[in-house]
Amino acid sequence: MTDTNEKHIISGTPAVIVKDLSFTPEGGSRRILDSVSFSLGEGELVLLAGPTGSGKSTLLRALKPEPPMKGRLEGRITVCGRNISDFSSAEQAAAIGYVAQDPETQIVTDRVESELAFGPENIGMPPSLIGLRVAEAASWFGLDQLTGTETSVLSGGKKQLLNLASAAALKPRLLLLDEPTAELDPVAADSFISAVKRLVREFGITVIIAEHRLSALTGDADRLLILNEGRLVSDSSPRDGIPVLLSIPGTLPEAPAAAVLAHRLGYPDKSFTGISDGREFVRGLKKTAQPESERKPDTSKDKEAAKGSETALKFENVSFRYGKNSRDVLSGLSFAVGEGEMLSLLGGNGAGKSTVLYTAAGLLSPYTGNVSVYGKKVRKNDGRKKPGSGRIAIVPQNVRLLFSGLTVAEELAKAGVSPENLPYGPDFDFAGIAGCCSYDLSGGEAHMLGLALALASEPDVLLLDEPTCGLDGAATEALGRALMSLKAKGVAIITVTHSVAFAAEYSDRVALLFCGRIAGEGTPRTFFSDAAFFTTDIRRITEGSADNAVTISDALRFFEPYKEDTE
Amino acid sequence: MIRFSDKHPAVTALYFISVTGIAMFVPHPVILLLSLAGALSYYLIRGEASARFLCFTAGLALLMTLINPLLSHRGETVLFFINLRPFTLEALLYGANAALLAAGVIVRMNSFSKIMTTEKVLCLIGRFSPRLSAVISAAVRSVPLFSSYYRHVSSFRALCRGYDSEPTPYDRAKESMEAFSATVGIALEGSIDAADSMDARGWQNGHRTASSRFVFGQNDAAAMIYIALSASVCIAAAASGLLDFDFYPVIADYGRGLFPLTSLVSYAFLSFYPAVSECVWHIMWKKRKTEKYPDAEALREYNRREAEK
Repeated sequence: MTDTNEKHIISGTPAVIVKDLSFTPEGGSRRILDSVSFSLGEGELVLLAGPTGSGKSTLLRALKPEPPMKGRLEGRITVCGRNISDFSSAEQAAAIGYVAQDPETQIVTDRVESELAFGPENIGMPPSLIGLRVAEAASWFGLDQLTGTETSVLSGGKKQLLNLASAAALKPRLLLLDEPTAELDPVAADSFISAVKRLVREFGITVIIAEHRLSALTGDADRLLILNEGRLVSDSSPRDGIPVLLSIPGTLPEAPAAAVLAHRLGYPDKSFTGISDGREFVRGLKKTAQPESERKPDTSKDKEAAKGSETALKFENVSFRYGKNSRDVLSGLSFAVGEGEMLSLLGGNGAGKSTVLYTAAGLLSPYTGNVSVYGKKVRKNDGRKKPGSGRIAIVPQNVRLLFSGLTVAEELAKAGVSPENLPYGPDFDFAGIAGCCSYDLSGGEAHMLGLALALASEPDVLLLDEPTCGLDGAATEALGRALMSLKAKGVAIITVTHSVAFAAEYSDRVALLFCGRIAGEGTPRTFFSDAAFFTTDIRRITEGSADNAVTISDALRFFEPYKEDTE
Repeated sequence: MIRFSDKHPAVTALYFISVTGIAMFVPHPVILLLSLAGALSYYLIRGEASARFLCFTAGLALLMTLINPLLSHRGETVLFFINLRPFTLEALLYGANAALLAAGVIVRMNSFSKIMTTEKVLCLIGRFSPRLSAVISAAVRSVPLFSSYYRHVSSFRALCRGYDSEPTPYDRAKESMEAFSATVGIALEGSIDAADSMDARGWQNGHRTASSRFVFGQNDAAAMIYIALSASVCIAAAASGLLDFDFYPVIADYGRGLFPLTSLVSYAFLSFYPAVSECVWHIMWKKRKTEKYPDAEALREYNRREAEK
């Protein structure tokens, strides 16, 4: 890793200088940004971290003059040696690129080609040059086969790549990315991140990227800026910054697994950015090992799950395809979920994960096979059944589809939900956000509201589509706890998820869906111990050192004896 | 040889405007017959013909032919009486003429809508107003987006809502109204993001250009000249009254002599242009052998031959 100070000297004048930047929103008194100062070199990949509400998005928006934010912005921002208030409209559009979280809503035009041309056209570039830029951007980002395609049919990953390519087509010097991979699956997120890395390395573009999943970037980022409550609390290399991040409450689940493990074991100064240095640390711990027998993980939970109870939802040889001549999305799928059990379905894109949920809900009907809830066959519009008769509810990935655009309190009242009856722990309640419009909620809050609305019908089976997408660490934990208490009430839960850590932590069973059928399943411990690719970071780090440790708590139990006294 | 449907949008637009424009304003039966024949032959040669569409058009034409003499009783040649009202030959032929016009235009528009994609329309609009073309493109995008939002919103909401008894039609209507209003909310919310994304990429900048992948080439110019020439002969003849044709009280064709005949022939050239062009295209591909990607052997062979030269 290059030392950042050294890099500044090499690149001469810094590409971005931010001095005493403060922002107070219109009608508010509290500063969302409070005297933030930093400077970045040309071609630096900068990771911006911090808990939700710490001002990450505001900082990124402040660095982009258009669209302007409502409120008072103080301080000085210099990009490429010029004050950004001196930039013309066309200059700022070209020099500073911006990609936000939602891949769908950022796309403006109907076709890939016109989308790529949109920015260059706006700044009045001559048509001959636009043709060249569009061709270059399409080829470089691997969108060349899609140029004539309608933007509405692209996958989420391709949409976000198109948004990046559209910003890059303007030849920016600074790219601002606000949680760009939050709504993408891991494979699409990886290809997005690697495109960003190439932009940095090959063109010397300075990139500031706000991210929750730090582990994907800590190995490659040059800098880590950490914001907390509007203040810049750390500006250093990722390795030095991670311990600072871990000291902020609620950020633990976002950091690389090895760093969290070290932190929890009482090595607050140890920091890791990747899997391999994590493995080394764990092996180091093992040198002072104790007898094998004392370090067996706790398997009582496994036995309890295996005990079995009444079957809530059952798939028997279910096959589904959209039309006569299309391929099978589900082919001969069979599985069952018991009362009060949570099953997590993992799998790549196109494996049919969401189709399983829609079929379970009766929104799609299989051409052969049986889907039943408590022994009764699932039919279309089963949501209209009476309570207690095997009701199903679904929380879509885009939870906002369940909202009506009212305030949180009104949404809850309209659905007939009283917040006291919700299975949410004491650390989450809607009181603080009751007056907010549902569309303005953060990812975590929106998911909690979506879940509350889905629970209005008192379902016996709950289906969750990518519940952790766009959620920060604290929100993921709150959601997980809510699901635990639902389970305790006997609700059967199926989640489709990309997050192996979430599946390992909260589910009773994990299954891998492949080509429309289950390729393997087991308790989280057996499944993730057997799996080679779809496994947790903790398992990757501790494999060979600790037996079947798949979650942080497993690993902690295992390595507790070596815990350093931090007193 | 460039396929008719792959020509520059300006050629396509000029062609369809002139060929249907002449048919609509010069209701000469020969012109209308040529118009329908030309439209139909292109429609069939393109190979996307649907029996349903053809039946619909034929049915409509038949209906128009028969309805006119039932409503209009002008004309001198009475064929028979219905309810003491005369059913005249002139009125029947007038109806048939109108039916020809309608059928010709419908078939032509069917081909036109398949060729003239939004992309091509936007290319033409962009020449005059780059901003308008971007706005239309955004509007075109929002349609499938809105309908997909609505589909999801209504099905998820229906599922998450529990009724204690079978919902009444009123409940269902209310449910879909709510789903619709929620969809509007989501779409509006999304449009704020889209507006930000537009501003971030310089939408507020005063001067906008329009680019397009369609390049106006020499053969587009040649096609334009061909269309303009054949159309103008026809328009000149029509303007000087040489293509006037009366049905009432008796059928009367005022076009005598060489010029009206020439103009009809030139309309035939106009009307059959896409069909003939498409035929030539198909013949070209029939004659061409399937090409193989040159392999190493082919490249060695080539070098050997070159060396021998």
